[in-house]
Amino acid sequence: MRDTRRTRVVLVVLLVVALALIALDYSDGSNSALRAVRNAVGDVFGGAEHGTGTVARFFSGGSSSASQVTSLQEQVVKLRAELAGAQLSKSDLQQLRKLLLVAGAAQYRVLAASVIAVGTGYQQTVTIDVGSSNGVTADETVLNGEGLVGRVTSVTADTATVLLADSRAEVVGAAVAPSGQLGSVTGPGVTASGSGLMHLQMLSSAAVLKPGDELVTSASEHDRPFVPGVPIGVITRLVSVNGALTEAADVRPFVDYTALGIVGVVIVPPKHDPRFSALPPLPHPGPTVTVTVTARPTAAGAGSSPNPTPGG
Amino acid sequence: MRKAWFAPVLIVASIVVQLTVLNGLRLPGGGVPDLVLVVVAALAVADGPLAGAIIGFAAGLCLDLAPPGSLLVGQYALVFCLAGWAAGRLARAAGKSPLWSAAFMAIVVAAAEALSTALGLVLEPAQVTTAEVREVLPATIGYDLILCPFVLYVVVVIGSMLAEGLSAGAAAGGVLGVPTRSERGQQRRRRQQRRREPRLVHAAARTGDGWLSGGHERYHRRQPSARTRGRLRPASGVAGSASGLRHPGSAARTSPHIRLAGGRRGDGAIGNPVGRNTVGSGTVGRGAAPGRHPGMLAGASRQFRPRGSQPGGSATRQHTAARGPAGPGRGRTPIRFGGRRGDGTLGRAFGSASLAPSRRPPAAVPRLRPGTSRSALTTRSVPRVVPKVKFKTAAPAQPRRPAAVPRFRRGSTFGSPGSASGLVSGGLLSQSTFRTQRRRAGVPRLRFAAGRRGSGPPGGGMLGGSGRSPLLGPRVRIGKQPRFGYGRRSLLSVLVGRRVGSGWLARKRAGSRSRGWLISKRTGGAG
Repeated sequence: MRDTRRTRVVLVVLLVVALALIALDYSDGSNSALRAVRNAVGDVFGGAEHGTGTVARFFSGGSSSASQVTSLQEQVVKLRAELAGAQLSKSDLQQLRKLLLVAGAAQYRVLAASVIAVGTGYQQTVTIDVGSSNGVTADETVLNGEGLVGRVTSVTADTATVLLADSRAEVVGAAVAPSGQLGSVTGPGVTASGSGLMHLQMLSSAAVLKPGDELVTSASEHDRPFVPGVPIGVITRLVSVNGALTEAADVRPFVDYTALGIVGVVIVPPKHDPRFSALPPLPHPGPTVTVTVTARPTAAGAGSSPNPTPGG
Repeated sequence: MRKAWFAPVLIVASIVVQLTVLNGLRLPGGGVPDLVLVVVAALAVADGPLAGAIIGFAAGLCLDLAPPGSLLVGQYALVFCLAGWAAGRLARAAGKSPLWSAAFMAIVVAAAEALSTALGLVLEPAQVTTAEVREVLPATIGYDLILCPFVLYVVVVIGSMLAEGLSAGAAAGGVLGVPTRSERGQQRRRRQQRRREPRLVHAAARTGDGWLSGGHERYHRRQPSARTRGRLRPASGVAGSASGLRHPGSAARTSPHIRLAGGRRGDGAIGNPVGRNTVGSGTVGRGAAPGRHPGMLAGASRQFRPRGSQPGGSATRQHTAARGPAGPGRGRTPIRFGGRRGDGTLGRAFGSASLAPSRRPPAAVPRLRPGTSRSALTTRSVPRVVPKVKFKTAAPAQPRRPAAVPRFRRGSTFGSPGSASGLVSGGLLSQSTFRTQRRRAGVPRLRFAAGRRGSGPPGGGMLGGSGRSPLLGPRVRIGKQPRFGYGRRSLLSVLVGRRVGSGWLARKRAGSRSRGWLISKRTGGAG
C-alpha cells in the first residue's frame, strides 16, 4: 500500500496542529492571532451566508419584474411565487412591528437584523446580518418581538454571533414581574423537541413564586450584556427541591429559539428602567364562556366546571 | 485525477448549506444531519486516506471558524481529520465494493459524530451536557446515516464526471464502479468479436497474484476494452501498481518502449539463481539470504539481471557488473524486463537477446504485444496455444533527452533514480514518481505483458508459460503450483468480492511454511 507512511505523517501532523489549536483556544480565548483568523474566516463565510440569504430571499420573495408573460401557466407560477413572497414579507413585517412595539414600549433603540446562519451541533448560536460596520459591538442584548433572544458574543464587519438565551452556558438575571424579585434563568440547552423549559433559580429565600408570573431581564452592570426589561418567559411550574434554600421554577420562554427570523440588537439602552412595560399585555378576561353542566346525582365530585382559559 | 477545485468547492458549499439551511431546520427527534462530516467522509472514500485527512482538517477548521461557531477552534478539525483518514483507509480496505464502502463510511460517520460529542463534553462542559447528548445524538447520527449513501453517490458521480466526462460519471453512477447490465453486455460482445485478437493483460493485480498485489478481480473484468489499447503492465508488476494507475496521456504514447522488469518470486529464470530446483513459485533468493522474507526479497530483487541464468550468483555483484559496461552508453534505448511470476522464459528470452539493446535505433523499435491469456483461471482461453504476437511499428520516437541506458538501482546507493528510464526496481521508486518521470521523458519504449502461467505453449514457456526456463530441463507439472492465498475464500471475501487478507496471509504462510507443505496439503499427498 503506497503512500501509507506519508499519509501517517500528514495525519499525525494535522492532528497535532488541531490539538495545538484547541489548547491555544482553551488556555487563551482572546488570543489575538486566533481572533484575527476567526475574523478573517468569518468575513469570508459571513459573506457567503449573506449571499445565500439574499438568494433565498430573492427566490422566496419573487422579484416582480414586469416581463411579458405569455403562458398562463407561467403566470400562475409567478403569482404563486409572489403570493409566497408576500406572505413571507408579511410575517417579516409582523415580526418587525412586534419588535418595534416592544422596543418602543421599553424605550430601546434597536437595530433590526435577520438571522442568516445557525450554529452546528450543540452550539446554540446564530449569526445575524449586522456587524461592526452597523455599530454593533459585543455584549449587546438581542431581542425580538416576543422577548429575549440572547446577546452578541463576537462581531465581524458584517456579521455578529449571538449566543442564544436558551443555551446552557447562558445565565440571565431576571426579575419576576409583579414583585420585582431577582433570580437567574438558565437555558435548557438542546432538546429533542426544540423548545425546552428554562430554569429559574431565585436569589432570595423570601421570594414567593407562583405559576403564571412573568419574567423580564434585570439590568446588568452598565446594561451589558443585558438591558433591563426584556421579557423572558412565564413560570409554568414550581420546582421544589428538598433542602433547597431558594425557590426554583420552570419557565416557558416567550421566544421560539428554533424559528428566529427578524431580531433587534439594542444599541442604545433605555435611560430609565422600563420595569415591566415591555411585557405582553396581560390577558384581559374576555366574556366568560358559561358551560352549563347538569350535575348528576351519581357524580361523586362536586361541580367540575371547566375554567375558561382566557385567550392571549 | 479529479479537478482540484472540486473538493474545496464542495466543502465550502456544504458548510454554507449546513450553517444557513440545515441547522435552522426543526426535525423530529431533535438534531440535524451533519452534512459537512458526511461530505468529508464521502470525499475521503473517493480520494483515499491522505486526501481525506487533509480535506477533513480543512473542512473542520472552516467549520470551527465560520461565524456562529462558538466551540474551541480545532475541535471539528481534529474530529474531521480523523474521520477523513479513517474513511479513506477503510474504503481502501473495501476495495471497489460499493456496499462495503458505504457501510464503512457510515460507521466512520457515526463514530466521528460520537467523538465530536465526546470532545465537546470534555472541553465545553458548559455548552454540552449529557442530558442534551442523550436527547440529540441518536437522531443526529440517524440523519447522518440517512444522508450518507446519497452524498457518497453524488460525490462519486460528479467527481468522475469532472474527471473523465459525462459517460464516466454515468458509469460510476451504476452502482459505483460496477458496470451496468448494458455495459456488461457490450463488453461481452466486444470480447467475443475480438476473440482472435491478442488480448492484453490489464495490469499488475490479477487473480493469482494476490500475495503481491491487492488486485480487484472485478475491476479487471470491467475494463478489458479500455486496456487493450496497448496499455500493458506498466512495470514489473509492483503490488497494485496498475490497477490504480491511470495514464491521462497514454494515447499520445508514440514511442516504443521496451521494458523487461525484474523477476519476481517464482519466475525461475530471471534472476532466480537459487530457485532452480523449484517449480515456479519458489522463493527467489531464498538461498542467497535465507533469513530474509521471501516476499521482501522478491521485491528487492525485482531488477534487471543480465546474467540471471548463472545460478547462485549474487544479485548485487551482477548489478554492479552490469552497470559498469552499460553505464557510459547514454543514448540507448532502455529495455526493461517484465518478468512475472510464472513466466520466467519471457524475460529470459528477451533478456538474452537484448542485452545489447543499444544497437537498435530508438526510432524503429517495434511495439511488441504478445497475446497472453488474461487469466489462468479462464479456461476458455486455453485453446489459444500459439502465442500471438503483434508487431506494430510505432511512430518515430522523439526523445526529448538522450534516453538512458538501463540503470540498475539497488537500495539507495544509486543517487539518481533513473529519471528517464530507470527501472522501478525493488520498489524503491514509487509508482507515482516513476510514472511522472516516465511521462516527462518521452523515451521510446517497448513493453509487453508478461505471460501468465499456463497460458503459453505447452512445451516452451516461451511467451508466458511455465515458471521455468527451458534451459533448466524438462517441465514439471505446472497445474499444481500453490498460490498463496488463493482459493481461500471466506464469507467476507465473498461479500466483498475479492480476497480479503490474502496479502498478509500469504506472506505469513510463505514465510513460515514450506512450499511442499502447501502442495501436499492441496494435493493430499504426504509432505
